Amino acid sequence: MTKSAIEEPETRATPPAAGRLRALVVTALPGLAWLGFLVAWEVAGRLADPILFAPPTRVADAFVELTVSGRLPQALLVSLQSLAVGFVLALVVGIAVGLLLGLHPTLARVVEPYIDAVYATPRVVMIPLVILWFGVGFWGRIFIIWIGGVVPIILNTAIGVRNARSDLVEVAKSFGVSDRQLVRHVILPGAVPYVIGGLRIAAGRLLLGVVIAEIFLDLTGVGGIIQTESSYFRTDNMLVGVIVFSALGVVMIGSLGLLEKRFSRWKGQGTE
Amino acid sequence: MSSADGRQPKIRLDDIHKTFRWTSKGKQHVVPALEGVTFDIRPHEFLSVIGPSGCGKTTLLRIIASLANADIGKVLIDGREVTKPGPERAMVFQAFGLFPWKTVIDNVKFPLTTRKVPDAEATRRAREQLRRVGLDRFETSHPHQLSGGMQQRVGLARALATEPDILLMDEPFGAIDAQTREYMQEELMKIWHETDKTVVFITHDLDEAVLLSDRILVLSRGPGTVRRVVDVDLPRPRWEYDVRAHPNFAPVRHEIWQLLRRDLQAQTEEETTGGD
Repeated sequence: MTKSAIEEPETRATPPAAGRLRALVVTALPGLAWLGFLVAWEVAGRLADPILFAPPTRVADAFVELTVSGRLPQALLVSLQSLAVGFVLALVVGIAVGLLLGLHPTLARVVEPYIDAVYATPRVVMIPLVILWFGVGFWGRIFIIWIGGVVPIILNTAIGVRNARSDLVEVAKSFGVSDRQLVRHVILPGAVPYVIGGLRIAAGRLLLGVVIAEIFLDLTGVGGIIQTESSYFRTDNMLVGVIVFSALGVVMIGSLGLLEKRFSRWKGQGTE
Repeated sequence: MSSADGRQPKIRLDDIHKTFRWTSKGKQHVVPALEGVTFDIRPHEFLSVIGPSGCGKTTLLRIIASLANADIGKVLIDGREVTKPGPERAMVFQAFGLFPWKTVIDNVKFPLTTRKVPDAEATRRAREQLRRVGLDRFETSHPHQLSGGMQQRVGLARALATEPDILLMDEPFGAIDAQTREYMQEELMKIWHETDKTVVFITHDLDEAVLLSDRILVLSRGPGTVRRVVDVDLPRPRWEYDVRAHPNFAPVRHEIWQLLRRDLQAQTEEETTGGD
């Protein structure tokens, strides 16, 4: 015990300068990697046939050009609008249906196989039917986006409702709450982490819905830019669209991660 | 319905029977939990219920709370049969039962809000009880930020905020470390003195039962029946002296200990001889 207490300071005694250098490298590494990636991309882009690929400098030029001309902001607005509407509808319907299925096991047993089937069906094959039902306009796109996002939210909400903590249900009942109050104060709040989990799965599928709808259903939005520009072999312009979608995806996943962190403060607390 | 001395019991347990039946893997299970519990609980008394594990203590409390129904028998409160939870009873739970997504004050307000008490009034009453349990500085905390003892004080404040006549406590200090438990016992005694509640307190801790109670209801090994009712003759207030050193403490404790021990021995013998 006393021995180690004496020895301890010695084991920590690495030269401070070397330690600082290592710390500097560690913090700088992501930036360096990013720089390396851009350089490699630039080199590859310049070597390749311009039809097949474009370097970041040209993509940046294309980005400025598309922005200044107003085409990109307009397209982004169209994409974001349909994404937002699809997202909200998926969330509202997903929670409502998930709650219903979670509360009524018999109903869930009958209905869930169909929901699973919808989940498993690639949305591209729904396009012809969606065109017949909703046409190629706004609501057709919304349907394609919505149907991808709503299913994981339904299924996760239902699981969350079924996993409501029975001890807390009993607490609420001991205070004589009504069924509606039980749902509002105990079951729904308890399902929130599950709903957010469903949203994380839904996020990618909602974004994919935007792309599918804008490329296969209605040539518009950022997906429309990608499709149109690639048919003109304007690879630089097309890559701008791709990068915008990537950025959208990163932002969505990131903000859902923050949301999840906020609610995970109490997630799983007190279960004994 | 009045008893012989002209005082109506606060709670009357009238021939309570409860049997649990369930099927698992095609096999029928029938476990009798309570078999004819008849007992009167007096107004304002502190009654502990003690018994070997599996004697149906918690089941009995859940039946008093109307969280479970008796197969046979009735629970009467102030002479009237109850079948549903009511505002005259409030429960304190072993695992605290706080809503992790609600702040401390919202947890305390919960039974008031759901009973449509106006928000200002609910807040006032919640604050009053939080002050009583010494947690008024923690209203905006969440339960997971508090220690076990503090969480149970929130549970107690929540029960008190409903202004019940009867507190039903299911091993409330069972999940709390020994030192905090002693402190909580003293707090509970003080609150009971101040508020004049009727308390039904489930415990498996002998010392705790003797320390707190006016009377102790000893249940027999499952299926539970009333084994004996033991009066605790120790002067109050009990936080003003060392109760364990009082000459009346050891005899009462010993009496209950013997009752429990006999049941425990029988249980162990049955288990080792493979009896079921």
